[in-house]
Amino acid sequence: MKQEDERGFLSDRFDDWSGEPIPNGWNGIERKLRSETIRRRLALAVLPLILLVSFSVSYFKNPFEPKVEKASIAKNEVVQQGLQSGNAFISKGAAADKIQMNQGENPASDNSKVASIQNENQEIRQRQNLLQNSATPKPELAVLDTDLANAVAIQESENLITESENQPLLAGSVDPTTTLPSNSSIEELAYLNPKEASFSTFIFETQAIPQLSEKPVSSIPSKAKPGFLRSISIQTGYAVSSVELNSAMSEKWKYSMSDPSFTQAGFASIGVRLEQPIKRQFSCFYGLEIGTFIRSSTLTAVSKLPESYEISSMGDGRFSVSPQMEGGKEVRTSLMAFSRAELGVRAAITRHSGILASVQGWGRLGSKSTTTNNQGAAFVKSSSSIAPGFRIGTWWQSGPFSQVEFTYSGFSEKLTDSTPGISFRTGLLGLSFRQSF
Amino acid sequence: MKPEILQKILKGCIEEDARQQRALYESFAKPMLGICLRYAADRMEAEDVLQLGFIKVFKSISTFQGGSFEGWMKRIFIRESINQYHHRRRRPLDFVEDNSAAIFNHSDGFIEAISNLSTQEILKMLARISEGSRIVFTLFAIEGYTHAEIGEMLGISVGTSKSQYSRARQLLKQQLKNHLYETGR
Repeated sequence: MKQEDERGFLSDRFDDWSGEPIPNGWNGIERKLRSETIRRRLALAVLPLILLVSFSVSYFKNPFEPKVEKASIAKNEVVQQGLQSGNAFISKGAAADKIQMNQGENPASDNSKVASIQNENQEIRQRQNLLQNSATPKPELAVLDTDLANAVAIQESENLITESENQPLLAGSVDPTTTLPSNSSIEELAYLNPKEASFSTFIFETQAIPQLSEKPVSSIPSKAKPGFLRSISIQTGYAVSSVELNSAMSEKWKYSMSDPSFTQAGFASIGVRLEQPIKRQFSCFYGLEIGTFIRSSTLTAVSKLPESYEISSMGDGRFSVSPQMEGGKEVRTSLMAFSRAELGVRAAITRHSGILASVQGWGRLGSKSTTTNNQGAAFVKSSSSIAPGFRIGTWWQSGPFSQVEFTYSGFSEKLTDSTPGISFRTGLLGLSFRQSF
Repeated sequence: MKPEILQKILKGCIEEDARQQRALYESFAKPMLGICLRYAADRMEAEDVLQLGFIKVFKSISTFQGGSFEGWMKRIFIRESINQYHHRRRRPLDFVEDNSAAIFNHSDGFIEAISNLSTQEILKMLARISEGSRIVFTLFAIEGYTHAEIGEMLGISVGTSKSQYSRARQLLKQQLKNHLYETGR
């Protein structure tokens, strides 16, 4: 006797041996099953939301984007301050020249220039404030608004300077940024000393001062531009399905296709896309779509021949089978809600058209299948809710902000409810309209 | 269970019908718990394995290819029991690699002696031997797996499986002697 002969020698003893499960054992299983189902459905429902959030986050995390905002603000401040101070200090041509230069040179593109101008303007503002504060009690200035007061006060100070130095007042002849030493006190500088200021000879010259025009920030060329192009698309299309009946189905049901081409399918979806130019002709994109897919097939179902039957001749070579086989036409319809995320590349072949290709991740959000034959084979839900896919196609620029795409996409049939013995292979021919914003 | 009823239950389980899932549980819970008890350290662990095993069955029922459904379920529960053991110990089954031939006297009356015991008595004796040897003995003598299959399931060599079985046999034989002495048979 060999050891192998002892294999399973106690099997019979344990065949009927069983334990007594705890009475509420099923409740625990049911709870876990339901919670997993809920979790799965929740995950599928939340997936598009997560993708959408990640889209937004990735967009706002674009390294160029915040810099543009900041640069714009800085630029705006500099231009505003410059204009204000420049208009006030128009007699000090150097400052105005600098502001003009910076307008022309796009201050936002050079942080050091922006900083130096900001510093200069800061100094100018400080002096303006000092003058304004000292001038405020004067009755002549009480009726003037702040800006005008600045202008007048400064102008009066200039008069003092010109009077004290016996020099004629010439616009642009004095640059306060060069004449004011950083360590000088106000008392040392006669023209800034409010005690020395006199407003008796008020000359209102502000109208004669040429105003610097403010350029809109958007018109100032910037090296930093947003990198992403956002677009929204509506897509619809026809699905081409090939159907195959295999032996597993014919064993149970004698299925046949009444019309092999009588399988109709279609889909519709809506989506968003972010596109990042890589080179002049290439760009990569990633997008998210949600949509529905429907497929309807007409089959002829005939029940399996019973084990015992009679065939009787009816003459003229005709026979009748008893009992008669049940059967009839059956329309099987599957509806699926899906989401798909894609990552792809787009290439321009001509100026207004090109090709695109992408890989996709499909997620089944929900499905419903119906049949007109209650005795027909059951639909089988796939345990997998996620499957890969692809899309290839062409695009055409139909307008400055609009595109049309004609694409072919494929996905795994595992996502849809299946029928044992029937295989579908589906491809989606889609036409989409895309609008950039 | 009648095949047509089982067929209906399976169809319902594939469609995730809760009533049919419960029907399947009620039909097979007892024998499957029996399997779990052979491998588990205690009844509580066996109940846990039963729960995990049924969840696995419901999840993978669409992959059932046909044949004996009970046999298919049984394999799932055995594997789940072994997984649970690994999980509990946080490491694989600790078998000492031993390729020495498992030589023992097959005509020693062991089979006859153990066959005279009740199922409960056999399980009690099995509970007293080391877990590695017990699992191999259960898989070989009760479930009827070959040493090659056991080796594959446990990740051990065929020789180790044989020697573990031999060891379990010796330990059980010793216990049998004591048992016979105590009962005065």
